[in-house]
Amino acid sequence: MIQLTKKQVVTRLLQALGKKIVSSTLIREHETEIVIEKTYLPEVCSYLVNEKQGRLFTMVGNDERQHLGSFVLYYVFSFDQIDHFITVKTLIDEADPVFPSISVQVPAANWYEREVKDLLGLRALGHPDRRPLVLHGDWPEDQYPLRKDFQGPVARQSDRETTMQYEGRDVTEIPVGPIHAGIIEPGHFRFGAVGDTVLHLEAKLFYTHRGIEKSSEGLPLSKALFTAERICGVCALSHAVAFAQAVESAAQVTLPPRALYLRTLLLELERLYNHIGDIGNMCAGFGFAVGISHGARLREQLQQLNEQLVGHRFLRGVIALGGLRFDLAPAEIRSVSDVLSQVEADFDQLVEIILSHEIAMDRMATTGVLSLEQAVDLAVVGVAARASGHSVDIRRDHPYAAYRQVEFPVALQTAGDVLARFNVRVAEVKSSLLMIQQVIEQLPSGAIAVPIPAIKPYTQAMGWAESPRGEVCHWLMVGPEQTVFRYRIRSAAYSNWPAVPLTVPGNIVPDFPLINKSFELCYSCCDR
Amino acid sequence: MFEILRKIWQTGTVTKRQPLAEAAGKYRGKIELDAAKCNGCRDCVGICPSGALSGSSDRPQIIIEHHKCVFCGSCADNCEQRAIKMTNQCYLEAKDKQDLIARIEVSGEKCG
Repeated sequence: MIQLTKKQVVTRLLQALGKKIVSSTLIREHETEIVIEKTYLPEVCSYLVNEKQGRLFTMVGNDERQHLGSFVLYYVFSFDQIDHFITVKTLIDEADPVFPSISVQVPAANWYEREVKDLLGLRALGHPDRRPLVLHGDWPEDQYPLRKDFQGPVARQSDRETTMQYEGRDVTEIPVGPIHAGIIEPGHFRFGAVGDTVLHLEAKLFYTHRGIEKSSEGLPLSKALFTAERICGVCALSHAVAFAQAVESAAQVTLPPRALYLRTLLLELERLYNHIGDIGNMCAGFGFAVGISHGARLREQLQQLNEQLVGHRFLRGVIALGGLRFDLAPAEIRSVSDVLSQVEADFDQLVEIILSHEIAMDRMATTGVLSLEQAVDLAVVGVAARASGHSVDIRRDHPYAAYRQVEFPVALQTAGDVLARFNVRVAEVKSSLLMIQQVIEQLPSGAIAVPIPAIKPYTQAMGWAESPRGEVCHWLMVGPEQTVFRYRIRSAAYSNWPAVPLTVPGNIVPDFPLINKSFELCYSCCDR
Repeated sequence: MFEILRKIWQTGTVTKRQPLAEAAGKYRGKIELDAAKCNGCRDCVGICPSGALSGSSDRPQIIIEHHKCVFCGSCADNCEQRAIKMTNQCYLEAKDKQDLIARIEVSGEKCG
């Protein structure tokens, strides 16, 4: 068989679109950009997703009226088999700020299209849900904060938010939140329950929207890194790495091997402390205090290790644009393997205790099932996707850092229930330990950073990383004088939240905390 | 059940009492500015991502607002005079916010 070059593969992939494509350019080794007229959007996107098995990776709306004279929409599709991204770009005129919705053909685009309406005022025609998403109903309808000419602050108006109305008299409506009893962040859940069984769940999020995308506009790239690190508490390092990779990709620099290996080491340490903590926390869903305590104890050991290594329990402040800010000494690397071997033995005992507990198994099995179809349709990522049999792992599909050099199995389960997500986490803890061992064995010496040269204004680039909850994607456009022009953060929680309400109907109300915990989505990196 | 009890027994108490021992060696705590070494170039003010450092234009002074600091350590990394360093201090609580604002007179000529 003749070996096709990547360009030929992509050309074949796009062949059926023919004249609909205005222009097609290979903008980077792993990224092709095609420009189309906005009327062809549903047809082109549906072709890429439904016929060519592309996966909606992110979608960005951008106000480029200053230098291009119009708004621009970018739909990024990931083609995992060929390690390539195809970006569909379309221009939207200011005088006619509408575009045809693709949500019916590509359900994963639902939130993105509602968000673009809220923040940029570009309306998706034919979208089945016209309610606001990011800015709640008390925000005036004609104020769009991500437009460059937006003048804040705005006066709030009376709320126009609506929720599902149930007609039958047997349905009890149970509103929960946005203030919760535990330490959980704000989110409003409205259950429609018949007896103890949930019939329908509606989740309203974005109570803590901080406008990070807006506030980072105009920041110098080196300072924006610190904002990126603080998007989320638990995936701090993944966000920092994703942002740094976006900048490095825009500047076209190659990192020294030691920096890549150390990044892999730290990213896996982040996954470890999160997964082990989450496994303990899932026990809170069925009131198994021993599991919670042991999970918290092991997580504490790992976080203290983080503090020893980089001076921060959440691994902040170690990534620099172009590498790492400081090196790890050989003694510190040795302490990693010492701590991890202790934790591993302890962790095995904890898993053994939980999985041999009858009540735990009874509560976790067949609870909160996410089917493979739902996972594929909604482009679910991370642990939740792998537990439903959807084999996506961006470490394997689009390798970054040193993931090309280490071998690891992708944990896959097919049941899609809480127990499957538990088992995926356990398997990933094991593969993280395996990876860290390989990194320590292979760790090359040398420099840990390279300088970032000046980046041409209006260069766009993407960075991605597999955070403990799933992949995060940072889309960046660099503005004049090395500042951020547009920054779009798509976290794992943003992709996975729409799937949670689908898994709850049919389960009893007390199962919801357990299901929610098993997805372990964070509110802050969804809300941004 | 027996396994669980044995695990609890083996683990014992892991909670530690306050005050804890010192923070880890690499821990980035409260910033310290050595006024004698500082030449007032104010590179640190420019690099600070959270605006915790500022300098007034009329007098040679650096103001550190500790409550705004995110402990990234950029100021210490970029200080050519090595006047700023990150200490190990992690207990920064104060009853009054004013107690967290340090105004340090520096002898630099570039100020003003």
